[in-house]
Amino acid sequence: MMKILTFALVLRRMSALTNVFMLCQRLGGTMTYISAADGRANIVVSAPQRSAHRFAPQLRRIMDVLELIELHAAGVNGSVRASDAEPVRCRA
Amino acid sequence: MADRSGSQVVVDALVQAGVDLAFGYPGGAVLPLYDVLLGSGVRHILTRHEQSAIHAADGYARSSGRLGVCIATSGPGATNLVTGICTAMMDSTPVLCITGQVPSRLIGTDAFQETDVSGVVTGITKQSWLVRNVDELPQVMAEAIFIATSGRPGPVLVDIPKDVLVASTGKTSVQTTSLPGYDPMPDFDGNELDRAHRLLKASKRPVCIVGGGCGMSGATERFRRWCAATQVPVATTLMGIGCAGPDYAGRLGMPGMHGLRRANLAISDCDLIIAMGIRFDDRVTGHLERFAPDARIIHIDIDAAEISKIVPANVAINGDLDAVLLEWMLLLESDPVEPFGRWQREAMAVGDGLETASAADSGTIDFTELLDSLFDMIGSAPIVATDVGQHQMWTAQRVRPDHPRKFVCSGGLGTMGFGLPSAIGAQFANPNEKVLAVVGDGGFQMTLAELATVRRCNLPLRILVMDNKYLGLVRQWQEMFFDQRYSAVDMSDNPDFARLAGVYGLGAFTLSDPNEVNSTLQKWWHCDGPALLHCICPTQQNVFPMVPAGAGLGDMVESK
Repeated sequence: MMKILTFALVLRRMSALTNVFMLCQRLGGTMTYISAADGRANIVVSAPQRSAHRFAPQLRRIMDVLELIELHAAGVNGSVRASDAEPVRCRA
Repeated sequence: MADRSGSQVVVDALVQAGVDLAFGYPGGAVLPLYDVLLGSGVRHILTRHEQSAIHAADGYARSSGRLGVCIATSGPGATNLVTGICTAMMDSTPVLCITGQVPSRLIGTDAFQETDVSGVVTGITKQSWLVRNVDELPQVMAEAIFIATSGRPGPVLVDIPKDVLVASTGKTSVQTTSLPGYDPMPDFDGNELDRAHRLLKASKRPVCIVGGGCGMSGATERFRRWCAATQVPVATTLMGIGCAGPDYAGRLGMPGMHGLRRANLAISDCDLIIAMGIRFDDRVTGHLERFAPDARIIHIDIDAAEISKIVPANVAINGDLDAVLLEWMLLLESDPVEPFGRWQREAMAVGDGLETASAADSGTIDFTELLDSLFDMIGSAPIVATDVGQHQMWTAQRVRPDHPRKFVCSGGLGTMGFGLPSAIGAQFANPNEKVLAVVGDGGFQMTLAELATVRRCNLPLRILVMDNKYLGLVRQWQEMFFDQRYSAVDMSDNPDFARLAGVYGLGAFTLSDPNEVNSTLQKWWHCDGPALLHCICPTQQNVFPMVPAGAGLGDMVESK
């Protein structure tokens, strides 16, 4: 099972994209879309369901990632920040 | 201030950060830096291999909490650091690697000894830099030192082309205490701590698992007070050994694959795990579905990426452990918990599982008994460094250090060859402490050239070589899981390590008679100068208890 993850990133240096690519690949993800310019990047990753929860926190750990917002589909009219979404980490 | 060369900027930054020692190995691209090191405030220790230099810097950092520094040249010098960098990354050790690089104009031409080392180590450092302009160097050095030592520590690498080391800059050394987007000391959520406290109060059978984060946070004393107040049984991971005081009645010992029976069974049976500064390594958890099946999880860690990475947390506290425990102690004072002494006694009564583990033939030296005798003799004060393998697990099961910085070994990466050079680093960091290196015959031979460093610096190290003429842990797996088909593990042609040590100028002892264990240990431990004890052990002794790969912690095998 794959899960589509969408991230908006602010980067201190564009070279940090290399780290972003490497990490996504290491976690088993496939980059399906990227647009980046002037210290900003939007990426879409197809991630294995079992490791999808690891992407955002580990991407945030990259030193030159200044800001990372995980976008979740919220109907046709917009999106919500990851922090507002239902946490994926809690178990009953 | 007059213009400074790039090399002088590097040394200035080290001195400003309080660094007075670096390990390394020179070469062409880094010669300008070595020239400036002469007569500087930074003493340089020449190792016999770059890998040993970084392991020594690592051992220095682990045993002291200070920044470890190593220097290497470009190309092979830099790539020889890679295993050590990954070792430091896996165990969160603050190590600064400085590498020379070919001159800027040659970068990208496949020049002699050119390697893109900052690219190579991207995935195994907190951050790496290739500095192309000398004016950037003061800021990069400051950032590198800050990043390595702050938050969850880790290795960093600064790669400096030779012309940048030579070029002059008017920029002076700076100190960095903050970086955009980097929050090394996150403010934890007090509400989560309240929830954790309520879970602890409601628990009947809590177990604390404490890891390397406790010692790194400087939380050891506060953690021990928390233990005394709650009497929660404590399991210490390989990186957390020494966190619970050696006399704490609820010291369960190491959990996991070669963990003690009481630690593994307490975790399997508990209703609450309080995880402090651990990352739930697979060697600790065993089969995840069977890990603490009835337990709720409180996870405290400074690194948000660790929380719920492996085991989902019911309560997640993202913060510095010392700060969290400070608040938790205040809570305990205002709203005490009923101490868990009864449960602690029940958990401890299960026993360690080591009593049935000995499998040595009569007339041979049982290395586990030798370790018991040794630790009875030397107590909790010495620093103990190990290599990787059976001897490491036997030591981890038995060692009783009085502080987490007194047990040094490669946990996450399991790097053979780490033992001797890391002990060298620990000895430099703690010149007035007794330092013991316990090594196996396999790992020792990966870095034994450092006996020359031991002799040259006259380090009063004690080196214990467990020689069972096998790659013992691999042989054990082949015995247990591959129908005793022993492939590429035989080391029956090992040299006489005592003679070898003698050639290097160390004191040397050999032990093969079980009747001479105590007398030989005494002579070796109390002699002057560095000394090696070559202990000839039975070939077939296995490490128990053992949780087979894929099994749950409760499914331990305790003997052959």
